Amino acid sequence: MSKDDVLQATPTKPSIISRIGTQNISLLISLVILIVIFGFLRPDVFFTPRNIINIGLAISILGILAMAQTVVIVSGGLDISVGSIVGLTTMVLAATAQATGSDTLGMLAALAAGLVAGAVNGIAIVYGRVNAVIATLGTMSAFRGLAFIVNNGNSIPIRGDTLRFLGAGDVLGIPAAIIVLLSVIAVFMFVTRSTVVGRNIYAIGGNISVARLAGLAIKRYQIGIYVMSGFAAAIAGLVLAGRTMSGQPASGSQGLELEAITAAILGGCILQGGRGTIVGAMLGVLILGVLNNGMILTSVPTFYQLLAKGALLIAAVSIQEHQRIARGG
Amino acid sequence: MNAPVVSLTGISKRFGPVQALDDVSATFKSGAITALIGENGAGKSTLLRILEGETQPDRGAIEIDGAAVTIRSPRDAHERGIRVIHQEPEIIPEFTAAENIFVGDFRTRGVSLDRQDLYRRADHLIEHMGVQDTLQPGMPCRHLGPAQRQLIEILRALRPGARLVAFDEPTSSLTRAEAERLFGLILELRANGTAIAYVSHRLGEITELADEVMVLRDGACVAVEPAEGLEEDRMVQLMVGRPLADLFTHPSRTIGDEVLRMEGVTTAKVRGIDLSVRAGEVVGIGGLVGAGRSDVAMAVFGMDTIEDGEMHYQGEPYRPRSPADAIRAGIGIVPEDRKEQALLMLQSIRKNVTLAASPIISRYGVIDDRTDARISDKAIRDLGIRTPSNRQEVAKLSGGNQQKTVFARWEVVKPQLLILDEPTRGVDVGSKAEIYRQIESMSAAGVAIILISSEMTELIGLSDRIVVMANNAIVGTLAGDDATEEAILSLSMNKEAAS
Repeated sequence: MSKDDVLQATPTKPSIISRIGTQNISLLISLVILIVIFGFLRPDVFFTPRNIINIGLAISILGILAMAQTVVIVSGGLDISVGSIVGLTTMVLAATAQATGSDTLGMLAALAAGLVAGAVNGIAIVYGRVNAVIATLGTMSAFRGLAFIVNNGNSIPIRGDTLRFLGAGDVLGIPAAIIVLLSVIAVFMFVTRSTVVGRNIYAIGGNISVARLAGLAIKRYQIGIYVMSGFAAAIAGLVLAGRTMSGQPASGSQGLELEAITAAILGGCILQGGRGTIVGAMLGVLILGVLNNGMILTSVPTFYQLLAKGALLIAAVSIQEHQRIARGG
Repeated sequence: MNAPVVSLTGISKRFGPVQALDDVSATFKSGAITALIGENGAGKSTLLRILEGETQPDRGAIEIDGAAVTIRSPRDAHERGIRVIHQEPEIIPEFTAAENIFVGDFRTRGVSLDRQDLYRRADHLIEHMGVQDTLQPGMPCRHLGPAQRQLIEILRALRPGARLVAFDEPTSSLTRAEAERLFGLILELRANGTAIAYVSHRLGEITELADEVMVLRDGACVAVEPAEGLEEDRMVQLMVGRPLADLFTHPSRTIGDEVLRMEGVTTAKVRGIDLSVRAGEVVGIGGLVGAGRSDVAMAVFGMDTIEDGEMHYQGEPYRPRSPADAIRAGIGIVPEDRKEQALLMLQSIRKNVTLAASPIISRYGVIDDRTDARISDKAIRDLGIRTPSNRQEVAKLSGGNQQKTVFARWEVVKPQLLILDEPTRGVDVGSKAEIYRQIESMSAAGVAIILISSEMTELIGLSDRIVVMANNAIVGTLAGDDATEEAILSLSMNKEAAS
């Protein structure tokens, strides 16, 4: 850059490719490759509307968790307790609905439980000064324990039309769960891209000392972020409870946190914080969704699916780190 | 006599759009000190990185003792006798000083680390350098200050086998006495036939030390001249490519009401600070690194707890508990460490400029993109930040433009009191002049300024009044003609007065 290369009068419009981002383009390419492979292996089923809706339903819970996880990771944290919070909130929902006879009250109680669980994480991390990984590893176990304690390890059936609509209803043929997911995505995109809060979360994750000296209330943000993550897990819990019409203490123990973190990292989050986007994470969720669906359609045994997902997480982090070093960041 | 040790021929290196080095040739001769000078971004650091094997040149040849070589890695460079002393050394906090000096070169007895040998070698080096007072081999490095870290880095390079030692601004964190000892050591190295490359912004040091001065500008070598008889003005002119106007313009100002008053303020790090700053006034804080100057700033900015004493801000009692409180009151800070305290290096200029300005760029918490862009573009123009757009990543800017970005943040917020901690550290001469003009124009507009600086010309040239600190307390105040370099130094050294 020459010394005279001063600010131009009209700011340059970023090109379409730079708007989408090279990261997202490589994700799109990976997604297309996966679709081509599975479409080729099972042309009879893969492209049917039924299967596409199935993929959408399968990723609705993961998608909600991955959006929240993205914000947590961007802020420089990590929340591995989200799967347990999902299980706990389904139990709180079921127990409250059973006691009061109202599934609506149950849903409100579940959302409140999510807020409290998130606050516990936030307080342990900010005021307890526990590292985020350790704190949420601890609460992952603790919240699961609580979920089992609610009804001695047994599930609780739920009756109620509101919840049933959330799990199985649809609007103009679009399942309610997918509408919930789309709404969550819209909210997160707006917050991360267009609000002061969103920008400040990137600043805190980018460099916490800089953020503090620029006057940001770091502790309030950090606690708020974990409360948000707990609340998002509770929303995921509602969708899950609606689908099974029961409180399941062990639900969420099928590696939801692993998949949410994988999607966020695939989508461009770096664990040091400060980088990552909602759009990227959503592409990561779609890749995981298509991969899961395709592996089921092509009869890959469950054990191998677990192996594949674990390998994917490690590969995603490794690629991220190599790119980061190559960029000189 | 003076045989070439390392020769570079026609070295070029490009980073994306930036031609960092363009056909540069240099010879580092045995027993000679070659000074490398140039503005930030002129290519000095890239040249050092190539010597060290950290970066490979796109074109050009490197010879050691006349034989063509490829320097593959820093380890390779070290083994070939090329030692680069970094400005910001990597120190392992869990290690002791001795362990940090010899890391990578531990000797073992049987299977265990030979501690006796390690400490004997460290003692020897430390005594040789004459820094026993500052550094002991057994010191844990976690709490070492910048000067001590710098010493460790220097001692690392002096391990046996050094043929070419390159110093990258070695004195920026050293006290005057430590710097003098370092110069003695450099001269000793020269006498032993070691080739020396010396990078510094302090031109006084260059004339004192160097045999030969090589000037880089925009990646090209513009002059190689003998240091003897080379005037500082001439060096500056070669570096910036034009004669430099007077750095300080001293515009007329009206001193207004008192903005900040500190009475007996004591924190964990400073004692009994009495200080008053009025609107339109520049109060300098002088003293050595580690005297507690930045800690006064931290107290005012709500980073450190006030244990005793009082502060008044615009006549009201003021007791900040966080930087957010300070900013709300109308105080801004340009902190000491640009990369770690001031800037989000991987984010755009725009996001950095408006980081503390959320009430201005948003309504109900939603950012107005147009306002955001307009305000940052105006600040970019006002501060003369050279960038293709407000979306440019800050890490890609030169040091001077990065520092101007920090000033731009406060230009937007318009504080009544601005604390400047080493505002021109690692900044090229051209940007320095622009930053001085910015400071002067802000104080002319009535901003009260606290200026902490180790650069005497800047401290004396900008301040209305200078308080000098030593041992975490204020030891004297100098104003007008009394504020001379000698007076500041003698107060800084006067430890009796402080205790």
